[in-house]
Amino acid sequence: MLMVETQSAVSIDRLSVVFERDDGTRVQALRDVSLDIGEGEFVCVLGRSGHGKTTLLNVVAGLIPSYSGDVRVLGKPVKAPGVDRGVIFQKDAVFPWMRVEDNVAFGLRVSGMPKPERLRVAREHLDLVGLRNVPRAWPRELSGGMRARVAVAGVFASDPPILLADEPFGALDYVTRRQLQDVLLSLWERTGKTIMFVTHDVDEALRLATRVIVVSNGSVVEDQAVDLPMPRSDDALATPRGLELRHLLLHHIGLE
Amino acid sequence: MASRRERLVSVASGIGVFVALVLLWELLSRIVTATGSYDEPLVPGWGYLWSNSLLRMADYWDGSLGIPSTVEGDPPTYAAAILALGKASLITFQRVLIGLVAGVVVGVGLGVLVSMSSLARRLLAPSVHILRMTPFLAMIPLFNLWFGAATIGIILFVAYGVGVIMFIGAINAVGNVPRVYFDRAATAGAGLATRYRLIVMPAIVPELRASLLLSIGLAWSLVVAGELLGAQEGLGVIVIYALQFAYTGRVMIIAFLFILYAGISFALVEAVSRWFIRWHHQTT
Ligand SMILES: Nc1ncnc2c1ncn2[C@@H]1O[C@H](COP(=O)(O)OP(=O)(O)OP(=O)(O)O)[C@@H](O)[C@H]1O
Ligand SMILES: [Mg+2]
Repeated sequence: MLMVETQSAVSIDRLSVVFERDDGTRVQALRDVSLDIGEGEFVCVLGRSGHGKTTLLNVVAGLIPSYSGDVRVLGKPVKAPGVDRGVIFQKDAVFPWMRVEDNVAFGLRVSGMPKPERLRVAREHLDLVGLRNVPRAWPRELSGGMRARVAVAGVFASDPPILLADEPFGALDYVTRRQLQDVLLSLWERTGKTIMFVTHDVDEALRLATRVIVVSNGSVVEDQAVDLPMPRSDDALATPRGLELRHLLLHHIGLE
Repeated sequence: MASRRERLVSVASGIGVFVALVLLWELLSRIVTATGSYDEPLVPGWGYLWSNSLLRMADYWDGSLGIPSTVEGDPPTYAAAILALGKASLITFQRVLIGLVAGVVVGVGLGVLVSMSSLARRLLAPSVHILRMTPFLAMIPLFNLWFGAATIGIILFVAYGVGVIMFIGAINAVGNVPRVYFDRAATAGAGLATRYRLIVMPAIVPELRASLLLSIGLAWSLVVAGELLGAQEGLGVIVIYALQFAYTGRVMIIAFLFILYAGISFALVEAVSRWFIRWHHQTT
């Protein structure tokens, strides 16, 4: 029988990463991780601090070349970063020497888009994240949460098929966070991007993901499809199925 | 950023200190009345500096431009004195400027180039360390041997000192660029050249500026040292002549000029370069 396979966006096979600290001690950040993410999936990577989420994302981003195992993006082995994967970093990566709009337009500039056009796109996306009024500001003039939104706008503006987001909303207040979750969801529904989204917030994962992966001590300990209809209102998450999933995830990250 | 009031206070106290020093010097000149050889007071007062030392700068005027030189027996004039100082200043300033620019361009260029390759960095690390430890003045005899008293030797000596400072400054500055900026640029598709143009170059400007400001004072010191070793013209040459006759006053006037020029060029570069780091947190 002929098997019709949808192409996987990210496929990871027995991935391990060992870091050597400056003092010579070794840390196994990832241990034998295998994972397959289909195109168009919205995968949340859930886990406690220091358990390997950023490492996993960075390997897929191509920023950790010294991994062992097999990691492929759109069928090709990952050796270096590429424009098919847009990254929102956990650390503040907004360039302080570029004005806000130039930061958002950076990816487009690298790809060769002419200035008027890329600035127009940048302003559209600043609008999307609620920063319409500060395109000419310097990053130092913004709050931490505003800078986080600049980073989000920048990656959205570059429009990569795969989005790797490392706790992008971690620095935001509850209301702004909810707004940006909606922005992200509508973007995902509109464009069909594949998204890997790191968070340690169970409720955020349940609101966004089609699938949640729980990482603990460098291993994937749970791989759970979230079969709740979108969009997920607070009420939808309070249904028996929603609560059941919530308990399950909380259990796996070490609570309850 | 200092408030207006704070700035006013600091300017006022600066003027206060200056006036106090001027008065103190005058007092000292009245107390210490000893003279050296050729009857020159060891601590010349302001009156003497003005009416004798400054005026006698005319001795170093060559008589061109229709302003007579004392060499032909004419009495010294302030016009000739100012012209002599102006011409010597211009020559010295030219050496500082060319040396500074050459040192900055070569130092920063090499520093950035070396920082591009971790192999080059590792290979060069020991020699960078040696360069850093070598006193600049210890190299003067070498420059003197190679270039004699020619202007080119002085310029190269200034460029050498400035170049070392800027080279080390550039390597450190590149090393201090947070890795996440490179990562972000790489994931946006930027190649090595683009990363250097759009990330490294702007990111290192604040640190380079600090090194540059350090270099300015150094450049003036090195040019004095170079000229004292036997240049044909320039401010240092006036010092050499003055020293032969123990003309304390004339030496002092040249010293003042050096302080003035170094101060002005420092303030100028500081003000102009501030524009380049307007994005940066500490706009000092
Ligand atoms: N460059 C590195 N050198 C050495 N050890 C590292 C390095 N990066 C990460 N580690 C180690 O790897 C482990 C996993 O780190 P990672 O950053 O992936 O955690 P995380 O799940 O993203 O945590 P958080 O939620 O706090 O961001 C940690 O023990 C950390 O100390
Ligand atoms: Mg992390």
